[in-house]
Amino acid sequence: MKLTTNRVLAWAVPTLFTATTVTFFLRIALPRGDSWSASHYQLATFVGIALIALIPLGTLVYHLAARRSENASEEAK
Amino acid sequence: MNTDNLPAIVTFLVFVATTLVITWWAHRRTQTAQGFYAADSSVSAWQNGVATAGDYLSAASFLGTIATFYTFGTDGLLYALGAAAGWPLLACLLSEKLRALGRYSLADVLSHRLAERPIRIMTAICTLSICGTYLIAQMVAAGTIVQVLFDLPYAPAVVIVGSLMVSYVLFGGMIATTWIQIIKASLLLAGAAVMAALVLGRFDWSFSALLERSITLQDSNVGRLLSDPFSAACLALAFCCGPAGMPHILMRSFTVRSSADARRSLVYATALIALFQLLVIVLGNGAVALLKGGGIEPSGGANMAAVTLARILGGNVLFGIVASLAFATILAVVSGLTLAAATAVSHDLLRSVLPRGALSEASEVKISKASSVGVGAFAMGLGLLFQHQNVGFLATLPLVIAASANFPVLLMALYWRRLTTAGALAAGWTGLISSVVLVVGSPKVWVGTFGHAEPLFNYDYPTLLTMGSAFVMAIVVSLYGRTPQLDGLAVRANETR
Repeated sequence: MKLTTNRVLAWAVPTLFTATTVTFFLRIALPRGDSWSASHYQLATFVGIALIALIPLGTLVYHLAARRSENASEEAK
Repeated sequence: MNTDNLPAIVTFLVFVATTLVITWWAHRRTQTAQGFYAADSSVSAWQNGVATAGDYLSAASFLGTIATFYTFGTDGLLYALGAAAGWPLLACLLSEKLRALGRYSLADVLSHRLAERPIRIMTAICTLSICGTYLIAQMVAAGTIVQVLFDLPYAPAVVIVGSLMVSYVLFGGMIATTWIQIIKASLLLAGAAVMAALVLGRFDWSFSALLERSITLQDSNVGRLLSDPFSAACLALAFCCGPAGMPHILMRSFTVRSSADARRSLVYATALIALFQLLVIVLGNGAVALLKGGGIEPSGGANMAAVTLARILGGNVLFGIVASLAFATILAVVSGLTLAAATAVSHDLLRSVLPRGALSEASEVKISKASSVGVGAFAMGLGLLFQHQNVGFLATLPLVIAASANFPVLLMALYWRRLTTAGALAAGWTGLISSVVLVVGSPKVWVGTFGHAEPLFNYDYPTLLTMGSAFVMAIVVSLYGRTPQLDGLAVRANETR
């Protein structure tokens, strides 16, 4: 199977986001009791926001790579 | 009827009137099966992207996520992130292949390389289970909103929603459903943006100040949404893999012209869903800061925190508009679910039972329309039974089933050449039965809804077990229980189509 950028991104983008999401969930769910201060909660919120903002960027990168690959194959024809 | 609610009533009636006009217009264009199930594959990528976002952004997730922030503080962030996390998987791995192989339903995609009859039966039953549980969440949210908004009892509210959703599907098919989703998604995003701006305005446009205030008001519930790492991993997997198994979302891929359009539309959908979740984070923290900070209890319980927040921000006018938007959102989502369920009955179940060619295209559409009435009645009944459940939790159940039953079969059928029909069936049935049994036996349903003293299974979200079992069954049965004759027949049957 030929390893194209498009194919690598198609697996890398969802794998990255799924792994990050599961890790983030696990971190929040671990017993924390009173050990979390306000700054911990703030940090968790900003990390969550950054992840949500990165998700559309990840899919856009994949889409652009796929489109470039389509254009290249059309030109080759 | 309370005259304070006049803006809500007017907004809601305008939405209903507009959608009924669209349904009438769509009815004239929906004469063929292709038109009814897939809008003649004539929807543009941008339109389908907005409609897909509309399909996913349900009132249950809008009200439920803000309610989770209100109840569990920062833990609400998990629902907001989870709602966006599954979309790269759908956009990158599935969208193009779905459009290339499918026609009207998920079973079309799977039966390209697997034996058609048993696969259609299994996929149809999975679709009905997922749509059924998701419809419950929407019905409960609708009934709760109408109680607050129109001073109507719960049961008539559920009947009104049920009747409208059946009308949309019965007369307008996929074309009407698509346009209703587009309007609803645009209105919901605009409403959430206005509310978020008003919340930030209260804190001098400083998100940090809002967050600081919200965190100081969080009570002892924070950190208790998920009690252990197993529950956390299960919920995260349900969010990540669930959208890729939701039939009403997968069906959207068939409404565009090409595979490239299917991929492009999911890029738009992902961006809109992520934007909405960012707004929900502002609103969730706003609900904690302004409601708890002001000592205000949401009328109608935590599920109504978003609507109560709107009243504080913009008086009765904004309250009415947001409440009716949430109601309109439910109408749009349930129409998509009803169409998916009706397609499962007429296109998948009946086609697998009747001999090939026994059912004409026109008859299939008629049966599909009749099925939508049955689905509507069923949804209303379940909506009444599950009245007191948390809508955020109810909206997560179908994700668990979709991630466990549909997603493993679909992913392996598209990417693993050695998957056999027996392997796919073993995976699908294992995922479906295990997820339904474990969810019914969970604390939230077995104890919370049915009133038993002890749950049969200690966790609310069993995704790790159920999805894992489905993948293992697919691999083991395909490798060690291979049935070459069956698959050979399926390949030949597909070649002669």
